[in-house]
Amino acid sequence: MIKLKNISVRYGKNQILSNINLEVKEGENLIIMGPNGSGKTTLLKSMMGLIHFEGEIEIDGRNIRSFSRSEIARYISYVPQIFTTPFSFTVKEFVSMGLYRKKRDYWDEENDIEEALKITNIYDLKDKYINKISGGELQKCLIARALVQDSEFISMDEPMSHLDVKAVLEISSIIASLSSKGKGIIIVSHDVNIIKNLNGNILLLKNGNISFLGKEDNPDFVRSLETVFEVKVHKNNDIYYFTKL
Amino acid sequence: MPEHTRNKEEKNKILKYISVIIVLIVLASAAFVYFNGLNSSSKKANTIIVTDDIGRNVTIKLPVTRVVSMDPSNTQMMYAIGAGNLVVADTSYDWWPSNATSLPKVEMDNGTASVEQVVSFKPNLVLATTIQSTAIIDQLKNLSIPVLVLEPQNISDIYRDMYILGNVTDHQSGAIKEINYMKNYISNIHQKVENYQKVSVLYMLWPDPIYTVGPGSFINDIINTANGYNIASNLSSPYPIIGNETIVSDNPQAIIVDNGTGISNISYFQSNPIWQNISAVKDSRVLFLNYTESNEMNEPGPLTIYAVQIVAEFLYPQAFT
Amino acid sequence: MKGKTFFISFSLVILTIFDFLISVAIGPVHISLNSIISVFYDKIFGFNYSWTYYVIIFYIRMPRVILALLVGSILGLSGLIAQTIFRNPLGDPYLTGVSSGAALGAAIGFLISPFLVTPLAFSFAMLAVGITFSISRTDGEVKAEILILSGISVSFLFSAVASYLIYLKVYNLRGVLFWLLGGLYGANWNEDFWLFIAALIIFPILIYFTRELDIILLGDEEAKSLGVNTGRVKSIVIILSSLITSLAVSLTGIIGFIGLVSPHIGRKIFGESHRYLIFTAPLIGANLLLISDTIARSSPQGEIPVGIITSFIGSPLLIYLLYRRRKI
Repeated sequence: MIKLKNISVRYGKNQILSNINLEVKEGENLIIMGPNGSGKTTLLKSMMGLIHFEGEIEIDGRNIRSFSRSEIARYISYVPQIFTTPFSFTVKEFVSMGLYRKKRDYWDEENDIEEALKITNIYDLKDKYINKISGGELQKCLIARALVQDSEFISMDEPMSHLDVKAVLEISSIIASLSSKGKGIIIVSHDVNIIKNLNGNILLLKNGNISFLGKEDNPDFVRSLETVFEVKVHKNNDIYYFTKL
Repeated sequence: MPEHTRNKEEKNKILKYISVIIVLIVLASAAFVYFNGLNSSSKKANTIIVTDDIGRNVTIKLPVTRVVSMDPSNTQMMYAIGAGNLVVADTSYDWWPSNATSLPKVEMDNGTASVEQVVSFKPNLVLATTIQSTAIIDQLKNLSIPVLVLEPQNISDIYRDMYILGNVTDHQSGAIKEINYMKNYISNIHQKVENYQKVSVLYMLWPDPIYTVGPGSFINDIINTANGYNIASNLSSPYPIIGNETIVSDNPQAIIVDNGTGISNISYFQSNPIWQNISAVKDSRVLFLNYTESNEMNEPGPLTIYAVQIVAEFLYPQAFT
Repeated sequence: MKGKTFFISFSLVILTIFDFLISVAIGPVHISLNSIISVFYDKIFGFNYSWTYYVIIFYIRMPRVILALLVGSILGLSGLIAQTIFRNPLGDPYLTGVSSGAALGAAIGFLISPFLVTPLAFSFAMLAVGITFSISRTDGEVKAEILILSGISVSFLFSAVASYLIYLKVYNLRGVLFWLLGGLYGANWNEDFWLFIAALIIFPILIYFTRELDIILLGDEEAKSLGVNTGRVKSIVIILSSLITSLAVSLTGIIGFIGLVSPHIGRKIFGESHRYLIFTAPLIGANLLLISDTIARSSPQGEIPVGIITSFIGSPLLIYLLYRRRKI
C-alpha cells in the first residue's frame, strides 16, 4: 500500500502540489485527471520518489526515503511519456532493461522478456530498433518493460496521448487486461473515458489540490468534473462528452 | 511674426554659423599644412635605404642617434662594431656585454613588445627579429620609426648584418674591423680541424620529443664550420624533431646537449636502453653546454666565434693540445 | 544478426593484431621482415645480433606501438562513457576539464623543467576534474547539463591561464605546441607498464557498469524508476574514466578526436547497446591511434604531431559512416 501524507511540492515560488493525502492499495487502480498544470505528473513522480517533496510517503508502512532505488523499482514501475529522441536499442534490448532491478546481469532471462513481448503484441518487432518503430509500438515497448520489471504497481503518464485511434484502442485494452490480472495501475490521463475500461478511484486535481477522490458512481463526480475542467459534461451510452459552459 | 518666417530666419542663422566654422577649419588646416611643409623641407635630412634580412627595403633618416634593440643578437652586434653607445633600450634577455644589462628594458617576455613603450624611448631606429609580429613592425613604420629585421641564419649573414649596421650608424670602420677579426678567428680554428675525419654529432635542443638543428639553422652552420657532421643535416626543416629510431640507426659519435633541455648529466643517457649503446654515450663524448655557452650557440653575433671554438674543441680535442 | 555482430567483433580483434604487426615493421628506419625475425631469433638463442635493429624494434617501436594501443583504447572507452553520461553525441573524454588542466600543468612544466611536464600535467588534469565535479555534484546527484557547463567553464579558466603562460613565458613554443597536439614519441616500457596496470584496474570496473550505462542513456528519471542509483554510478564512472584519461594525456599530450569518433563508429556498426560498445569503442580507438601514430612517426619530414593525423583519418571515416547509415 502506498500512503501519501501531506505531500507538497514546490518549484521555486510555484506551489505545484499542496497537502495531498492519498492511499492506493495493492491491486487497486488510480486514475489521475486534471487540466494542464494541475500537478498530475508531479504527483506521479513524487509517488516514486523521483522528485523532491515535503511530507511523508509510506510504502507498506515504511518511509520511501529509506528505500533504495531498486526497492522502489520492485514496488512501482514507470511508463513515462514518450521521449522525443529514442536511442537505437533493439526492442528486446530496451524491454530487457526492466529486469535490472531483479538481476543486474539481465541478458539471460529470455522467458520473462518473451512473455512481456507477447502480452503487448510486439514479439515480432523484437529485433527492430526502437527509433525505427511507430509511437504506438514504442508505447507498447514501455509497457512491456514495466511488465518485465514485475512490480506491484505500474504507473503511466498519459500513455495514450499522441497516438492514433487504433493504437489508443489497443493500448487501453492491454492496460485493462493487466488490471484484470491483478496489477495495480496508477495512470495519468486526459481521457475521461478510460474509466470505461479501468475500474478504480478517480482523482481530480486542480491547482495542486484534490477536488475529487472517489469512484465514478459517486454522485459528486460529474459535478466535480465540470468544476475542474470548467466545461459542461454530458453522458451518452456510457461515453462522456463535453461542451462549453 | 508668422511662424514660417521665424523658422526660416533661424535656419539662415545656423547656416551662417556652419559656414563660418567650415571656413575656419579650412584656414587652420591650410596653415598647418603650409607650416608643416616648411618645417620638414627646411630640415630635410640624408636618408639611406637598406635591405634587411627578410627582404624589406627600409628607409632610414640619418644620423641614427637612438636605437632600440629587441633581440640580444642585435645588441651584441651593435656593441661589437663600436656603436653600443647608441643603444638606448634593449631586452631583459640581454646579458652581453655587461653595459647592455643596465639599459632600460623593452618589456616583452616571450611575446611581442608594446608599441607604446618602444615609442617612449624616442628611437630613430628599431632592431628586431622575426619573433616580433609584423603588426608591430607595421605600426612602428606608420609612426615613421624604421625597423630593421636582422636575423642571421649563418655566419656570413652575421658579417653582412654587421656591415649594414656599420653603414646605418656611421661606424663603417668599426664594423669592418670586427668582421675581419671574426673571420681570422674562425679560419684559425678551421685550419686546425679541417683535416680530421668528420665526427658525426647530434645537437639536442629539447629532450622530449628530441628537437635538433637541421639544414638552414644557425647552429648547423656552426657545426659545419667546426668540421662536424650534423646527423640531422639531411632532414627537411631548420628545427626538426628527430625520431629515436633515426638517432639509433645514425649512431652519432658525439652529442651536444643544449642548456634548455634541463639535462646536465650523462647518467640520463646511460640509464636508458635506447641511448646506452650509442657511440657517443659509450665513449662519454657528450657535451653539456652551460647557460652562457648555450647563449653563444643560439645568438648569432660577435660571440659566435666562441661557439665555433667550443664545438671544434669538443669534437677534435687533439687539435688543440 | 547475432552472428554478424560476432563476426565483426572478431574481425576487429584480428585487425588489431594485424595492425600491431604491421606497425612494428614500419618506421623511418627501414628494417626488413627478415631482419626483424632474425634479430629476435638471434637474441633468444644467444647468437650475435644486430644491436641497432634490436634497440629500434624492442625499445623504440614496440613500446610505442603498445602505448598507442593503450592510449587509443583509453580514449575510446572514456569517450564512450562521456557521451553516455552527458547524453550528448558531442561528448568527449576531455569535457570534464582533463585536457585544459593537463595543458596548464604541461605549460608550467615547460617553464620549469622538461621532466616535470608529465607529473604536472597529470596533477593539474585531476585538479580540473575535481573542481568540475565538485561544482556539479549536488545532493549526491550529478546532473549531465550542469556537469557539461561546469566542465566548459573550468576548461576555459585553465586554458586561459595556460595560454597566458605559453604566450608570455614559455620560450620553447614549438615544444608546447607539439605537446598540445599530442604525440607518443616518449614511449618506453616503463610508461607502458604503469598505464597497463592502471587500465587493468579501471577497465573492469567500468565494464562492470555496462548495464547501468545503457539505462542511464534513457535519462535520470527513467533510469531511477528502473532501479539504477544514477548518482552513485555516474560519480564512479566519471571519476574513474577521467583519472585514466588524465594519466594517458599526461604521458602523450592532448590527442584529439579519438575519444569523439571511436564510440560513434562503434555505434554506427553495433547500435547503442553498451554490451558491444564497451569493448568495440576501445578497440576502434586503439586501431585508429595505432594507424595514425605509425603514419606520424614514419613521415620522411620527421615526426608529425599525431593529433593532426587522427583528425585526418577520423573525420572522413565518421562522415562516411554517417552518410552510409547503419546496415546491420
